[in-house]
Amino acid sequence: MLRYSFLLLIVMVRLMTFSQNTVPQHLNVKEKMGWIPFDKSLDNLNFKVCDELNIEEYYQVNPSYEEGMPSIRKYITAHKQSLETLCEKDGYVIVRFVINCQGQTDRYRTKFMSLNYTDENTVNAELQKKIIQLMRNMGNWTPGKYEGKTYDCYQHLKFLFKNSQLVDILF
Amino acid sequence: MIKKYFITWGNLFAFSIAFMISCNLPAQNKQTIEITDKLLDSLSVYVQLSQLTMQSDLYYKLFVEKYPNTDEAYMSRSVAYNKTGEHATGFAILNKAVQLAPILNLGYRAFVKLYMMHDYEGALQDCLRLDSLTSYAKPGVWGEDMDMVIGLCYLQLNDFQKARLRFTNTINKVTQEAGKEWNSPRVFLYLGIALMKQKEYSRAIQVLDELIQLNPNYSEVYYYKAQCYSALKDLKNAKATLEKCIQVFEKYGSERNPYFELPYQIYPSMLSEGQ
Repeated sequence: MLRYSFLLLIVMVRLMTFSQNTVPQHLNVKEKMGWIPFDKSLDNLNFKVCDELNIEEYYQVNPSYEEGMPSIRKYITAHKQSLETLCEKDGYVIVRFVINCQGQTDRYRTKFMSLNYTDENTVNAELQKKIIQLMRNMGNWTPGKYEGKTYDCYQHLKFLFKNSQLVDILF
Repeated sequence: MIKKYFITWGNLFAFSIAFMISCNLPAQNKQTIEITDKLLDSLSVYVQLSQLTMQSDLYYKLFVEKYPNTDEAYMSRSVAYNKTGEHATGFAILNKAVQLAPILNLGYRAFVKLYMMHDYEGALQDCLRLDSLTSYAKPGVWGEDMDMVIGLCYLQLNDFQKARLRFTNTINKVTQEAGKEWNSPRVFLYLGIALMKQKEYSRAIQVLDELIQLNPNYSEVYYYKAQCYSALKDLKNAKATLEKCIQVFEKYGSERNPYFELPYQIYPSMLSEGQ
């Protein structure tokens, strides 16, 4: 009986470890959904990640830009007008990128999604470029960290446009 | 240890099948792969490891090919896409789950729309549809009380009267069924904010005080209470309440969610600006 209880305990601990999504999972990044491979036509050659095979998701290691969303909104709001003039269609510009273990960012990829949740990537091309340009100039982030160790991680931000106005930025 | 665990015949078999499927062979050489339960069983180990692996996605993809009416597989497959910002794909898959089993999946879709997309109108429509389909009982919206979620949608859409009604319903129902202390602190916070937005500051302070009684370490409540005092031009109480907020915030922080920013979340700069 004691033996079975012990086995059950091990199985439960194992399942709890595997099912916990908000801690680093050390998955091979090339087997992960949302992997962004290096593209020399888009990415900075000097940008290095600490561990090319182990890039976590933002919610596992919690990186931040200054104090969080208010700082991001404050920075972007200063450029709001230039973004709004480029907005051809309402929807979400979604930017996914890498924050390395030193807080530097690169490997930006964008998508545009309509308010009906359909991919329309060719729409708002100039707006997507401008958002990447602004984000490249934001400066460093505080890298993701878990139990004292810093990690490379993926982050995404969504820029919501309605009536050609930037109405929200969220992650 | 993990690597050893995965080198089994079953997984090697699954790997080779996955490799064959993912190979971009010319059309004339394409082979039809029979999706057997054995293949699905072999791949299912990746689902336990993480929702985010490509093998886990492949498992769900093959699963719905073999069992196309399994809403749970569509819903589970959508999670990884929504978590990695691939929302168009995520919603296309999730919509299929909703189509197959609306009662089981509308709540999750509403939750994603509300918190991850700030699509308050879309979330409200999903919740109201779920409410109408389940009039005999109110299921939770991904673990949250339905009336609270509907109230939050109304609050974000500036329909404060309807928001208040829903928050009050939640508080009354939970208090009656389980006791006042079993209410989510957020429902009191949202009710207080709805009252504040309607300039009923004294009533808002009463509601926020009820929350302080239940949970004195909840820093958000002091911040919004201080806002009410400021609006009433009661600067002495506003200052004292904000100081209390800073004390509680420094000791206990504020409520956070790793996946998204919570509505009415507070930040250090808000506290210093309020002083």
